[in-house]
Order: sequence, then C-alpha cells, then structure tokens
Amino acid sequence: MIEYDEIENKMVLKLVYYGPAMSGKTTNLLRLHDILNIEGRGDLMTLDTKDDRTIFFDLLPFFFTAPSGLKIKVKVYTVPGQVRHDATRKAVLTRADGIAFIADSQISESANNVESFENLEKNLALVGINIEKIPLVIQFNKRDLKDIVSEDEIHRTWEPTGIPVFMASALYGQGVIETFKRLVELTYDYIDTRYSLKEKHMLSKEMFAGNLTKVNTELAGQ
Amino acid sequence: MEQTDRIDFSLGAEMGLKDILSAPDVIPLLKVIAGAGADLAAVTDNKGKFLWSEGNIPDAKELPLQAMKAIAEVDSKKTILEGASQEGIIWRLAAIRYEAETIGFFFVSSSGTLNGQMLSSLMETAFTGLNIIIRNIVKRVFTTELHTTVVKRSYEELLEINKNLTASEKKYKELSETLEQKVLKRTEELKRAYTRLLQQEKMASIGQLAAGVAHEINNPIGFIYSNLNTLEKYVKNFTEMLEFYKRQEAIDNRQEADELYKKLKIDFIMSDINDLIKQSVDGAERIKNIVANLKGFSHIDESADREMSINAELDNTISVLSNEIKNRSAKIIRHYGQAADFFGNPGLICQAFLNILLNALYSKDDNIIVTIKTEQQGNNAVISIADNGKGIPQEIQSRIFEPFFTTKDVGKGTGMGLTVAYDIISQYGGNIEVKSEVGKGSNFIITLPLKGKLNGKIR
Ligand SMILES: Nc1nc2c(ncn2[C@@H]2O[C@H](COP(=O)(O)OP(=O)(O)OP(=O)(O)O)[C@@H](O)[C@H]2O)c(=O)[nH]1
Ligand SMILES: Nc1ncnc2c1ncn2[C@@H]1O[C@H](COP(=O)(O)OP(=O)(O)OP(=O)(O)O)[C@@H](O)[C@H]1O
Ligand SMILES: [Mg+2]
Ligand SMILES: [Mg+2]
Repeated sequence: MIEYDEIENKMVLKLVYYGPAMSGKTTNLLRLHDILNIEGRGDLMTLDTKDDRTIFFDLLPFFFTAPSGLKIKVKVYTVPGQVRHDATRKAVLTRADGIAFIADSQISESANNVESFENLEKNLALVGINIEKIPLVIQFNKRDLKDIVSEDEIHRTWEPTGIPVFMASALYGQGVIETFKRLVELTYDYIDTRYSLKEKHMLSKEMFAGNLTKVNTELAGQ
Repeated sequence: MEQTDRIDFSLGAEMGLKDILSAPDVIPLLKVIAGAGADLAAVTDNKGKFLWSEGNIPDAKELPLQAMKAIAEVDSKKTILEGASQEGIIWRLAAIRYEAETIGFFFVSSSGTLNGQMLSSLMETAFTGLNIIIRNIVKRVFTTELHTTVVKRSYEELLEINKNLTASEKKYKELSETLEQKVLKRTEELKRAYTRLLQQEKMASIGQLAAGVAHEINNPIGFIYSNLNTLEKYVKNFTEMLEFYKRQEAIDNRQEADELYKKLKIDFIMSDINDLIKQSVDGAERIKNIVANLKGFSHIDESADREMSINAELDNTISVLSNEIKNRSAKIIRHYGQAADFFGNPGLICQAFLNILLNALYSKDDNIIVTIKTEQQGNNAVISIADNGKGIPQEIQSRIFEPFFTTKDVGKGTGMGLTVAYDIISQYGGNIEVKSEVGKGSNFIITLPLKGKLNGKIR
C-alpha cells in the first residue's frame, strides 16, 4: 500500500524481496548496491544478521524527485527466508507495493521454493494484499550451480501464470538488474493509473525505471 | 474466511532529523568541534534552519546566506562543500542523508582560528561521526520498531485467536445445549412412538388372538346352541310321557312308583327343567354374541368405514410388524404405485394385510425378502404381497383359507390367519388369489374394488 503525503508532496514505495532461506535475497540487494549509481541510492542497511542469515531485514533505499517536484522514495526490503521468522516476514510484507520472489534454482531446493511461495500467498492474504494484482516477478537464482532445474522446465511451469521469470546468478551480478528493472516497471504501471505519475508529475515509466536503475558508470567502464 | 482487522502500521515510517536525533546525541559532538576552534558547529533541518548549534555566535538561527544559497548544490552531491566569505570566514557544509534523502545539513565555520585544511579534516571526522551516530540510532529504531510490530502483531493475533476461540466455544456451547434439548425432545418422541407401536402390536396380537378364539368358540357354541334346542324338544317329550304315566291308575306297584316319583322330585324337576333349558339357551346366545363381538375386537379403535390410502395402511401394518421383521431379519421392498383412496374400515383391512404379511415372514427361516406392490387396475386396487419362501404345495393351496387349516405344529398356529383375511377382503367385495411355487415363493394378490362405499359394510 503506497504511502502518499500530500503536504510533503512525497510518495513512498515499498518493494520486497521474498523467497526461501539462502536463495540469495540479500545477495541481490548487495549487488544492486554495488552496481547502481550512488546518486539517488542510499546505503544498504543490513539489520543484525547472524552468520550471514537475515534475521530482521535488509533495506536498500532510493530517492529522487519527479519533474513536478514530487519526491519519491523507494525502499527495497528483503525478508528473512528462514521458516521460523514468519512474524518478521509478515511485518515486512505489510503495505508492500511490489514483490520479487527469489527462488533457488537447485533441484534440492524445489520443495523449499514451493513452500516459500505458498507462505507468500498466505501472508499476502493475511496482510490484505491481492496476489493477483500486486506487481510480482520471479527470479531463479544460482544459475551458475550444477544440479539445477532446467530453464525449459521453469518456463513451462511459470509461463501459464503470466508472472515474469528471470534467470540470475546474483553472486556474479547476473540478472539482478533485469529482475529489479521489471519489478520497478510493473510497479510503475500499478500505481500510474491511481497517481497519474505521467499526467500530473510528468514522470514517464522510462524515467521512473531509469532513476532506479542508473548503473554506476565507473563500474560499467571497468 | 472472515476478514480480520489488520494491524495498521508502517515499518520504517518516514522520519525527519528531529525524529532520529535528540540533543544529547548531537550536542557533545558539536561541543567538541567548537572546542577545537570552530566558531560555529550546527545541525540544520532540510531548509537550513538550525536545530542544534554550538560556538561563539549564539544568535544564529539559520545558515549564513552564502551557505544557504548552496544547499541545493550540496543536496545533489555526496561530498562536503567548501566555502569562504569576504569577511574571511571559512565554512564547510554537508548534506545529512537518511535513506538517500537529504533531511538536514551539517555546518562548520571558522573565522581565523583554523585554516582551511584543519577545518576540512575536522569537518570530515565530525561528519563521519555524526553519520555513525545516525546510522546506529536508525538501526536501533528499526530493530525496536520491528520487534514491537512483531510482538504487537503476535499479541493482536493472539487476541484475535482468543476472540475466535471464545466465539466458537460459545457457539458450541449453545449448540450443545440446544442439542441436548433436541435429543431430549427426540427421545421423548421416540418413547411415545415406541409406546404407540407396542400398543399397536399388542392390539394386533390381541386382535389375532381374539379372532382365533372367536373362531374356535364359534363351532362348539354352535352345536351347544342347536343341541340345546333339540334337548328342549326331547325334554318336552319326556315330560309329556311322564305325565301320561302318572295319570295311569292301573299300574302294578303303584305305591312304589309314587314313592319313587316323590323321592326323585320329579314334580320339581318338571317345573324347573324348562327354566334350566331356557337359561342355557340364553347363555349360549350370549356366548354367541360375545364371540361375534370378539371377532370385531381387532378393530376396536376404528369401527367406522372411511377414506383411506392403501399405501399408508400398508405402511402402518409394516410398522406394526417392525419388531417381527427385525427378528426375522427380513427385507421389505415396497413398490408402491398410485391408487385411489379406498373406502372401508382401516382396522379390518390392516388385519388382512397383517395376516398375509405374517405368513410371508414365516415362509422360510432366513434371507426372507417380501416384495409389496400396489397399483390401480381399472376400478380395482391390486395389492400383491410376495415372498421368496418355501412355497405352498399344489395339494393344499385350495385349503389354506379354510378355518383352522395349518401346517404348523400343534399349538403353534391357529390356521385362522388367512381365513380372517379372506373374510375381511370378501366383505368388501374383493378377493385373494394365490400364486405359489414350491421352493420359490408365494404371491398373495388382493383385489379390492374401489367403489367400496357400495360394497362396504353398509350392506
Ligand atoms: N553459487 C551461487 N551462490 C549464491 C548465489 N546467490 C547467493 N548465493 C549464496 O547463497 C548464500 C545465501 O545468500 P543470501 O543472499 O544471504 O540468502 P538470503 O536469501 O538472504 O537468505 P536468508 O537471509 O537466510 O533468507 C550465500 O552464501 C550466497 O553467497 C548465486 O547466484 N550463485
Ligand atoms: N406365504 C406362505 N408361504 C408358505 N405357506 C403359506 C404361506 N401363507 C400361508 N401358508 C400356508 O397356509 C397355512 C394356513 O395359513 P394361516 O395364516 O391361515 O394359518 P397359520 O399361518 O398356519 O397359523 P396362524 O394362525 O398362526 O397364522 C399355513 O399353515 C401355511 O402352510
Ligand atoms: Mg538474507
Ligand atoms: Mg398365519
């Protein structure tokens, strides 16, 4: 649920990286932080992890101003994937405006993916979000590993749902931006009709996505 | 599923600098800077208004004009801006960011005590320190916020669960209470129905017994009655003969005859004998009436003819027999068709059905199946009661309707069942036909004319 403050002329969006434990949610945010330009991007806030496992959440904030002067803040969260942190997941999921589901491609993790996706469906319903409507993308991470579910099979499974699917290797920065960009674009479509981003704020989808996915030129030059 | 009220909260709500920092967090840092030789060290809001400041310019409320003009430039950069005024004041300005958004500025200035190099490194150290303070506070706030949120949510969920539990407990309690009442009511109904059934069964068996006894008595009383009539005539002749003898003078042993006559109280006997016979005839007559009444006993409750549904009466009869059916572990199959209402005495008709059904139930020892069919054929109601029993041998088929004809062991059967049934059915102008094959079963087909009003008891 988008937060919109008319007096401050400010809009706050919340995107959530969801998925089973160890699937690479935190790694996705780490890479986004590394790859994206510092301008308009905040620092990655990692809240108290234990042995690299997220217990609370990670937060990567973005901030920019639309041509109309509308201030836009986009907060990208990860949830803790471990089953036992369900209460935290629910808290983080509340009022989400878009979701990236990070699945682990390893065959051995298939059941965990399913379980986590069911958990997402359940929690969305609990916090009053319609899964049919909310912007949702899926990323199959860890494509660099062996014994992974084939791309064919993944497409066969997910194509009928209409949910965009991305292959990634977050550890090596592959597919990370693509996943994020699509999530951001879908989120734009989702809120544009209600907040007339284009009409009233002269903010096109390209600008919106561009602001959030500005690649660090230094890095690109390397 | 019921939509439960969600706990409305926003994790990581927007915070201004004043939400994050408080004087005790900032003042010590600013004091250190001022003590190190800065004229002014200040933290401002995002408009350049001082929130906290330390140094030699106590009246300053906001950034000096030059710095104020630079805030837009600082905002867009991540670096520290350097500036110097014509009065020889040098200053440093940096944007304080929270979640990528500039929420305030950090300002340090000096008028001579420190050179540019010293001011810059002082600024850098202090700004890093300030950011660390902010970062730690934000982390703490986040953690606390998340913690309270989770706790609050869990608590509210518990409350919700508790509420639901209480509600469902109440529901079940109510349910169980009404259930108890319902069970009590049903038990009461069942009890009554059972008593009624018992009564009916008793009545049925009493009726059967009565009908049997009546038939049994009917014959003896018949000959007693006719014999008495004959006896009356004989006695009349005896009397006449005796009187004749008494009148005769010329009898040997006249005296002896008179003495015997007296001794045997023939005079008294002759005067009494007619009363005696008359009383006996009266008594026999009464017995005959009682027997006639007994015959009607089985339908003691319903003595009048009325409209009745044959199917419904069959059902009544079956329910009267339910115990018997259960004991015989027999199966009853009903194929009821449409039939116009019959006009007659339901008690009698039921008695006829009952007797035929009873025979069917005893037509063999186990796996008894009785199939009852009803239909209307023209102006007749046709009821067939078929069993899968041992069947009736051809030789005795013509005799089964005879009174007292039974193949049952002595004392077991009266042989009156079919007789009574036949009597009743023919009383209403109907008849009973038997189709039977040994080893396969028997079918008793009852035909009842539906214009029963004319053929009924009215005759
Ligand atoms: N080989 C490989 N390893 C990866 C990839 N992405 C993440 N990992 C590794 O997987 C492990 C878990 O990654 P995280 O990003 O911490 O996982 P997470 O989803 O945040 O896990 P939780 O916080 O417990 O929910 C780390 O050791 C990562 O280095 C990938 O693309 N390839
Ligand atoms: N369904 C039947 N199957 C075989 N035999 C039958 C059947 N119905 C009647 N009978 C024969 O007809 C005889 C006379 O039947 P009825 O009902 O008149 O007297 P009962 O059954 O012998 O004695 P009760 O007075 O106890 O009924 C029976 O004894 C039996 O031999
Ligand atoms: Mg993590
Ligand atoms: Mg009988």
